[in-house]
Amino acid sequence: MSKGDNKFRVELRSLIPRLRRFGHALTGSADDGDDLVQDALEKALSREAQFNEGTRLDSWMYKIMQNAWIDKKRSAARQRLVVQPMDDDTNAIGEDGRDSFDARINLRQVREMMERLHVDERSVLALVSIEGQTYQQAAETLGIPIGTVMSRLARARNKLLLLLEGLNPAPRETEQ
Amino acid sequence: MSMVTDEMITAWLDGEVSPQQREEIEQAVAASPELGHRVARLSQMDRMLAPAYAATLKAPIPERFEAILARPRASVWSLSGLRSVFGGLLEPRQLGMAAAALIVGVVAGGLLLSAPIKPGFVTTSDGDLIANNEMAISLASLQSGDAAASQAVRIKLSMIDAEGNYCRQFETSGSAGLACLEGGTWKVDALSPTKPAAGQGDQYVMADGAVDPAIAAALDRRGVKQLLDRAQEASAIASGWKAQKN
Repeated sequence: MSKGDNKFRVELRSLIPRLRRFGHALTGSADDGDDLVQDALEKALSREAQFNEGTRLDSWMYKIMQNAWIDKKRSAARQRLVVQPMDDDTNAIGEDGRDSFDARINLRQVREMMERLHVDERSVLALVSIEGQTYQQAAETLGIPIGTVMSRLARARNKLLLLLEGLNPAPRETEQ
Repeated sequence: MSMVTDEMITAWLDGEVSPQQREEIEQAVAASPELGHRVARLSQMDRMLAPAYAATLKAPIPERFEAILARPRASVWSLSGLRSVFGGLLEPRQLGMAAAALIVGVVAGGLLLSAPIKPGFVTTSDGDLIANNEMAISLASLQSGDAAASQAVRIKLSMIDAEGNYCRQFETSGSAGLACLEGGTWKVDALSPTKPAAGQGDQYVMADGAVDPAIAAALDRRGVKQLLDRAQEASAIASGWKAQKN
């Protein structure tokens, strides 16, 4: 067993909460997100030798998850719309969200509207706005140019704003 | 004043603009209440995203993930795993013979357990098929045309794919396939059953177009940069299949 082995696993473990968050945002479902995290952990352990020390482990894991999700979407015969109820909406919603944006909008609705974005838009929004990646990091994670990160983000935010502002009735965006 | 695009606003919100762009945008926002309102709403919306997914940050790590991380290493045979077992005792070339003669099992926590060895594959949970046991040993140690001492595995051809990974076509008694060395494990890219009657011979060697369609498709996806001749193959075996990335 290599001496780096344990360190690698410790780092992986410390990333799990953020990986789960990314998985949830990417898939729209806490369960689907956790399945992606599980796949990514297995893959990371079996491909540890491929991991380049000096590159970001979080980006590597996000990338594995993103690719796995895209593959899954491609092979899925139909689009599932999974809306996970969450218990902690009342607690999780900050005064910020409730007071200054729109009293009608709660965090569950934010998640529901996120699901209506195209997966490419959702992933870049999740990486930048939720995971706090820079454009450069997001570009590397997704394997796309920075200009594409920027245009997808702009599109995602515009759509999301439209969706949230038009919650009654909610417009539908379909994913391919 | 230049046009302020959606991309510029989004980059501005993320602090990803140059000082000059920032000034332009801020002037535009100051000059247009409508734009200012829009920017404010975009920013407020963006700030709701992280809280919307914050639940997992506070949650304990699920047991299923702990279990994965606690799993002993090297339940999958890999070159590095083999080396850790055989160390300097054996030359790479000898591994195939040695494995057939020895009873070798799974390395768990450095412990060598006794178990019958068979050529085979394991499937990782993400669907990757990985060569294990004698299959992995044969892929690592046999020259093309040679068979493992047990006759269970025969290597047909070696090549380097477009990304510099080593790949080998192989046959077992009931199947033919392609395995490529990635991250220290032989990942099986194609595996097709062979007809018992026509299972021998060289029909899976890449010649005259007589390649199994699954193998051909796998080769297509990867792209073949170079076929290895016998000397190159011998040197790759001797060096432990050091990466040929370039």
